[in-house]
Amino acid sequence: MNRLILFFLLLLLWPVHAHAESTPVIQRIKSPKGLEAWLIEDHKLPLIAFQFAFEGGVETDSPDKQGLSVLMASLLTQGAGSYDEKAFQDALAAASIALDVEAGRDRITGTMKTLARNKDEAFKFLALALTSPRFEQSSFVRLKRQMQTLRKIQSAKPAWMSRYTLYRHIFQAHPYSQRALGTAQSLEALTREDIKTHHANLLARDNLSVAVVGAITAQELAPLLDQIFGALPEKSTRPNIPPVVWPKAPARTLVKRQGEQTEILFAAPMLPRHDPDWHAAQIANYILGGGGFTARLMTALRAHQGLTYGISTDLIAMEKASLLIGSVATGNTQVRPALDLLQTVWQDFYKNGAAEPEITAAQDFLTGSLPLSLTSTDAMAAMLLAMQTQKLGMDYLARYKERVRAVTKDQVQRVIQKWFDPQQLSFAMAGAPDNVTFNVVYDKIDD
Amino acid sequence: MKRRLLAFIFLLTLLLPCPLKAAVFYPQTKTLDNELQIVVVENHLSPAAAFMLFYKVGAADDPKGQTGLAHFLEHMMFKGTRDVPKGAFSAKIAALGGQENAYTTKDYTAYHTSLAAERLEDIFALEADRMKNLLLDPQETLRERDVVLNERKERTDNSPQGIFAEKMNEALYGAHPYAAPIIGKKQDIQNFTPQIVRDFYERHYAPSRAILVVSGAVQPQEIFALAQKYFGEISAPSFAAAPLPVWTREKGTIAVEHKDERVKQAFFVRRWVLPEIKVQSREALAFDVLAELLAGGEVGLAFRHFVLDQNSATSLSASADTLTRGPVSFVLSATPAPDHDVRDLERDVMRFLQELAQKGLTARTVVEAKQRMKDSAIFARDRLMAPAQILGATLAAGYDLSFIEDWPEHIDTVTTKDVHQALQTLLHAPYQARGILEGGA
Ligand SMILES: [Zn+2]
Repeated sequence: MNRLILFFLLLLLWPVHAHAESTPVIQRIKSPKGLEAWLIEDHKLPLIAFQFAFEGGVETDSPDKQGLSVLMASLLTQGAGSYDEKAFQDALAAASIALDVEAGRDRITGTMKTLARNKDEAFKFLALALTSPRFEQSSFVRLKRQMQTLRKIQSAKPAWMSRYTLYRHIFQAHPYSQRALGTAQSLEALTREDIKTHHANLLARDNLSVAVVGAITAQELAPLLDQIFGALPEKSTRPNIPPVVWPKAPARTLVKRQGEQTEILFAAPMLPRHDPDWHAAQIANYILGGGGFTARLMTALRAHQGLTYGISTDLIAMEKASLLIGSVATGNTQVRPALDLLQTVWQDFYKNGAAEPEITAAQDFLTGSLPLSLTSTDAMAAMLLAMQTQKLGMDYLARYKERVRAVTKDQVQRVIQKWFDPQQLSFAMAGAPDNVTFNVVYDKIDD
Repeated sequence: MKRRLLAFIFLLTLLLPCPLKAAVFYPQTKTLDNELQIVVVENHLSPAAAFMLFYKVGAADDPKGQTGLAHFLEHMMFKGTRDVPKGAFSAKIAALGGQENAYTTKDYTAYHTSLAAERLEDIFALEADRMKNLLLDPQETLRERDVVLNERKERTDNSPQGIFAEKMNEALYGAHPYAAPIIGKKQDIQNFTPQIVRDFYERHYAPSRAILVVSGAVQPQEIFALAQKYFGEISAPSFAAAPLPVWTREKGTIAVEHKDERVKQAFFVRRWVLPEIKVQSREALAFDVLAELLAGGEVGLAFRHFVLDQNSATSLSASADTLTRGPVSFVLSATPAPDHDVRDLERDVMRFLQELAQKGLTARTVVEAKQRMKDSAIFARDRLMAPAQILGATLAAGYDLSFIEDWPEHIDTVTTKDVHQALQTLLHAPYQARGILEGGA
């Protein structure tokens, strides 16, 4: 049943909120140089969670340099300043400092976790990693090779195959269709010069967000911000990425893969995160497929028919596109009945909308589960960071509950009418399904 | 980043419970007259709580020819009681803003709900109800077989890594119950009847076989009172768990060479079972330290050698399973770098271990590995459910709470000589399995 848990964890902004009095106090910190951070000060544990984001991620890789952002981000922690890669990793390990920098689709994000007693060292190494990484030849070659291996492992997985082909259909020539780990050729062609340029372009002060939670005061934090990020250039240089234009017609694609089961992914366009109807869409999604064992799709396909171990849907809000996305896996001979049932349930939802008690139940869950998204210093820092990068406002947590409660039945029905049309669904499968027709069939995907 | 990811993927395919890096949680405990043990860990970081109920029955207790029964019962526990019909359990918890699920390991079955701490009482009622009043409707039982067969396909039959992990387990454990897949064999799952499930439920689900652990923004005395109120009246015949059978596997290293066209990247795994190592002892913990020393973080000796210096592996990981009802075990795996052969890598890694054993370990590397492990105990407190998971797993495997509470001290007592001895033991261990998963037919 762990798949479901994972799905919950993956929801970026998993709804949140129970009581105004339980919302943690968020402080907005300004450094002497004008850098900003959001802080929740909490001394219950002798720990600090420090997270940051630079706008511009994998989307900024040009088509012939796919893999650039991931490689650059991974290299930041492989030696910096006077520390070569071993000395750098030794120093972090000796102080139990966990430091990771990763490239996502829209931004580079970093997480650091340290014991409060080692915070001076932790911040020193963080500053070095961001402002004077060594990008040594040996680390550069090694990580490239690791990425080649990871690409092979990844591209053999049916879940990856279906997602890759689905995104290729939806995003077409948009940078969102690119491969974060690169292609065999693009990775091979990357140079250290590329890495250095990308680092200089992307890590700057004008595209930075910082979130901190734990045993540190505002007074301590303010000067530290300059120490860590002050040496970065003032302005980033990033290509202008246009919004995604969805293809006119939905599609059905298949990647042939032998085995007993077919992995099915499906998606439709969704309203953007800043749309006033966002919470109504969350509620609609919860009722149809997002609400775990209580959702209509799970009830129909698993509980009533035993057709699958799990089916779920989710809203994904990226900068340049929003998706309603769902997945289900089932035996090859059960694909047809599963798709038919999915269509029936979805069509009924689209045609007749949601019932009042379902909407109330969704609101109960979405508001009642707020404390669950803030149960560790890391989770709180991730929330603070998302509130900044997605421009949700400092009062997001405090007002979340009333906003979800304020959604009316009419609003939900309107969203369903506009965004939950089953005719808009594109399907991407990996497997050997019986009795299903496709627009595009891939015999294999290059690894 | 990569290495950790690979190690993680590998662990998932093994279907083992999480390796424990434990902590000091300051738990309070009480046992009711009906022998239900209650453990409470206070954590006031957020106004939430995790409620976990452990039953001391896992896949190793599945009767012969009925593999997967403990896991199947876990599924049926969500299928309703007289008062709480099918689907109502999940609906009630969702209405409280909670998230619930369950998992089965070789040693125990655990049910967990996370939710706002102030709403905890409802979970006590729901869990107490399904401890004694499970419906086990015949039609639901048949339907759930299809769900579990689909789950099995997803985890195992459709995944080369899943099939490989099952073969490795069989090779390693032979006739011992740890050899069988937790989810069960296909033909066994297909034969489950309502009566089989009911017998198992009535035999194993009772207060005397359960541990209730709550961690979060709670007061221990209130939790004890709630436990008394909802579980105090449940009395059920208490069977002692049947002990696991004695170790009888023939000596030797069994090879599993599994080829699958769908695999694009080969890797090797070496596994050891160590029935002669006393569980809960210093010599057992030395294997935990050895795993950290070889492959911990990006600084482990073997990781350094093969991934950084030789560039012949892109990942290397090791871990010990010392918190277990059955024998202690150890696992090491690595993925070759591009243009490197998986068999060459396996040979070189084994040779590296031999040379390390001859050369001996420096006190400094052992001290550093132990320090990292002790620090990890502090980080474990920064989680809502982790303390409950760790303490519950500890008790379910038959250990005392002090095993976890004194864990940093125990780790401290492990000497360089102990770790060296652990390495020697691996090199001469009589019960091993070596496996390679690779592409091709
Ligand atoms: Zn299951």
